[in-house]
Amino acid sequence: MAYDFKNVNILVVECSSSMYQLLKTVLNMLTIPNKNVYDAYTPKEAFGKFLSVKHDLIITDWLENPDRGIELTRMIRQNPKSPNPYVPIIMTAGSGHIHRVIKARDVGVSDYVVKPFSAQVLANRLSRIIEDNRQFVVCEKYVGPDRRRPHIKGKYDGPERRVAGIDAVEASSAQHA
Amino acid sequence: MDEKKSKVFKPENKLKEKVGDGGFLEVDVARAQDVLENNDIDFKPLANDLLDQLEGAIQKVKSGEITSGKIAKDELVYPLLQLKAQGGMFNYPIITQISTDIMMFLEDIQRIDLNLLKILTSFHKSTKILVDLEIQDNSNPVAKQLHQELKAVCERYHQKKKI
Repeated sequence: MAYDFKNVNILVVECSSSMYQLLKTVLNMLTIPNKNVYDAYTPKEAFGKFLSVKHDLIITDWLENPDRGIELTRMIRQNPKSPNPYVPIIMTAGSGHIHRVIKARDVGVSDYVVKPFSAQVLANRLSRIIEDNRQFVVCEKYVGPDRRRPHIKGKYDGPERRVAGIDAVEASSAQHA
Repeated sequence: MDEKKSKVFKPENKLKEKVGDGGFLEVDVARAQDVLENNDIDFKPLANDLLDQLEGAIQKVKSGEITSGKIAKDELVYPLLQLKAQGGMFNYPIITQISTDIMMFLEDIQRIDLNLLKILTSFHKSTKILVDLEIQDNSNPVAKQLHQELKAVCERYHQKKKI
């Protein structure tokens, strides 16, 4: 048995129709029906389609400078009109430079893929998104998946600063000092 | 919003509910990889558009039309970023390789100088030759030589500037 994508709609935001067509064909080979894959080329167009279709997953390129893919992610996560601020977002980009990855992470993308990528990498990222069990954080400066990766750094068992307040963290730290 | 009132919660995973279990089949991943490796999308017009953008950005910086360092860098980086990304996706791995060499230090640079513009102009000319002659990978001796020379220039600049 494998994943069944017949009820899943995916929005692919790309810089060119050629790149969109290629990605759509690759997704189709991964059993995602062509009719379930939508295209957009600007943040405005993408957000407009997202408002009406309410896609289950968004794959967006970094797009033109300065940072239009980042702008789109911000709209989806923080615009009050967004129909689903929690929708998984995969960002793709030609550069895996640390400043870009951090910028994407801090605006709330769920995952980041460097182009060119292989089909295996794309399938792995899609699986990771589908099986994603992370919490979601909504605060003044950030809306997106929890940026901590407990399986990488070990489980954090201290107080939650955002929930309990900074005082609780400071008190806990003082206790352990 | 008061930071103390922030929410941390687990939203419903609708995507998982819809697709169920099982992952991707190896045979489907292999078919997808085959599409990536054997697609017949013509990269030449895409590459030429990006190379024109790069050439335009170089000219604007040289002529002083763009004076802001950040804008200059953004305009120069964008076509390089796309050439790196798309070259490998459209069967021109050589374009990805030489773009990567330039991108490696361009992302860290704070100030655009004349030497850098010369390197970018060399990159533009070399890439244009590769695209025009439809040279797709490093197996071609011309490509190999262009790649090695550009790489050497990048390394010299990198060392000189201690980036």
